[in-house]
Amino acid sequence: MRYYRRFKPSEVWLHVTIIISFLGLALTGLILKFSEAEWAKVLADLLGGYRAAGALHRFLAIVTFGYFITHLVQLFIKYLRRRRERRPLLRLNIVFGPNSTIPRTKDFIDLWHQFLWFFGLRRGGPRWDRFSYFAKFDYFAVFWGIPVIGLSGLMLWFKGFFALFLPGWLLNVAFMVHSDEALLAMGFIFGIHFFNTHLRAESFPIDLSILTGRISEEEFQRKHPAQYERLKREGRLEELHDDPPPQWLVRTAKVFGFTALTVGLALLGLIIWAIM
Amino acid sequence: MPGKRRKWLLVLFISLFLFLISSAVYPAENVCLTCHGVKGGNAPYVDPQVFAQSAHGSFGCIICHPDAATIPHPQKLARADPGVCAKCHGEITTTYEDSIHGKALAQGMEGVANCSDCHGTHNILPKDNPNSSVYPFNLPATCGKCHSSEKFAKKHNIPVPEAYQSYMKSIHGVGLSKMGLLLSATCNDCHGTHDIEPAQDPRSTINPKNLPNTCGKCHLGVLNDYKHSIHGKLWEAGSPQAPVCNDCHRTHGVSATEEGFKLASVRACGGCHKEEFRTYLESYHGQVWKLGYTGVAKCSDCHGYHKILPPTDTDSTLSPQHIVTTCRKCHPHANTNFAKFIPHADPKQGGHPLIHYTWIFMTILLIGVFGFFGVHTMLWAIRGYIGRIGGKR
Repeated sequence: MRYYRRFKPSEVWLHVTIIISFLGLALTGLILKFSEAEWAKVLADLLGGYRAAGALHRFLAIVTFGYFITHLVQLFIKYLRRRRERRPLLRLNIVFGPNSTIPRTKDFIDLWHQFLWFFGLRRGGPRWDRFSYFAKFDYFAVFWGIPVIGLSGLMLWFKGFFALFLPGWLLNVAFMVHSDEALLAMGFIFGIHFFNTHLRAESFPIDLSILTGRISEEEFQRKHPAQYERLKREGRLEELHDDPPPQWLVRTAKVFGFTALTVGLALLGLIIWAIM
Repeated sequence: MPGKRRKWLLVLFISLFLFLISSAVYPAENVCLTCHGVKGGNAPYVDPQVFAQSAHGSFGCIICHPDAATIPHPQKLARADPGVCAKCHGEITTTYEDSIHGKALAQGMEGVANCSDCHGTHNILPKDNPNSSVYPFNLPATCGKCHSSEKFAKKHNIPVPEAYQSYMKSIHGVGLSKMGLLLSATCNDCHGTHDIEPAQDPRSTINPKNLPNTCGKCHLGVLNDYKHSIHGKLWEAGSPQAPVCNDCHRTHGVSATEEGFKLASVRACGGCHKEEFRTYLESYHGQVWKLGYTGVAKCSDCHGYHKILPPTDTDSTLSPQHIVTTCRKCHPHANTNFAKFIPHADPKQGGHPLIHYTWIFMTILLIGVFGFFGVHTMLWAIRGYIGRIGGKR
């Protein structure tokens, strides 16, 4: 079977880092957020107490800032490369083109078609390009979430410094924002991103492309038909052609991917258990 | 002279008569001990040596057992106390008769503590004799003969089932029994002795009206602080809502200010200060407390303990003059800005407007995102899975 490259190795590593740090942050944060739950006490003791959990949380926060800055640098490099492009329309492509994560008109049409399809008013769902509207929403959820959770977290971490020029009640705001935004992030990732990307009928049980970086021709045509046909039409499909992922990589990706899914769903279960 | 001789004979005769009479009415100890001084006999054994060394060792048996004056005496002698004790210890007996034990006895209740149950019988000793059953080191076990059983407590409607066991584990009990501190409070220091009354009785030493003074007998400095506090002022004004010592400190199980007590004390405050307790639980401090750790601020860390004052009082730990110092106990970098943090914030109710508006924004954001994508995911799942099962694409 032919394989095509969907994500660069740097993007794979970025997502692996996100997965590990996010799950760790969620676990250590949930212990506090739902500290009245029985499981919170058990997990806190397992991690070596609230101080140890807090230290781990702060360490993973540094990891998060690290990958966020890395990603910004990657975007900047991409932008610099495009600046050399002579044709101004193609220069704008980085922002508004089909490879961009920025929403465009097609996304709103896709959303409309998706709902029509849900209700059986349309034969077949939208024909996705490289990034569907829900993938873009996932992306911007993280892009918005990290500065919001990050800044509020820094305020709570370095409250003495922030109190030099900010009133103390902003720490109340930071505490609430950090906690609610984190709940939003966890609920969204474990409940909605997991379904959109992995658990929906078209991908079930897992989409490994973010971990192997590659996608089979059959999957490409089925999951990103608009991109496949566009590249074929432009004669650029072969640029993406790649070797099939080696067995060891597929096996590692499966173990890691299913573990991450399980941990995430377990954390979602703990949240629901605590709220009920 | 025959007259003089007759007189002497008369004296002798009367003496002999008196002696015979007296030995019949007042049998000498050795007469009683003929039966009661023998171990393993049918008669209850009285150790002659123990009795001789007792506080009553110089008395004859029938002082306390008048119905044994004629021999043979009845099979079962009447209980000597408290009636007989009253002959000499009249005032104390009157006090006893007015106490919870005395009243219960008068009502004919069985198994009520009587004089001898606490003081002993033939082995009775003065209270300052270290071997006395009411000597401080021995008193807990003496009271504990009854006040250690749940069954007993249930039967007699006593709210504290295992007072003895809790007491022995408490700071007072450990101080007395393990450390050997004679000054450590024992039963009578709080409850009184012959005048023990139930807590509901306004005369009781442990009635809320009197408890601070009772504890204050030893903890005088604490009493002075307490009297100065908002709680103490309420108490002095006679408010029934005023918390007294045992509302925060357990009674028999009163402990040192160790971890367990510090954790439990938050709940004690929360029993009255319900709103503050709720908002505390939502704060970071409260979250860590819920996990069972004492490392973060609990009520007393900010508000103080015995000398709690409203923040409007300049002496309060939370007054503008002192609040930064209070925060600095844990947050060394705290300044006046920092102290504007609202530890009991309730974003739903308001507080600072920005806190409230942020709460509204976050709530709308969460409901919006979860609402939209919740529906989106559900519809997709139905279309994707059930639509497929139906064979349509």
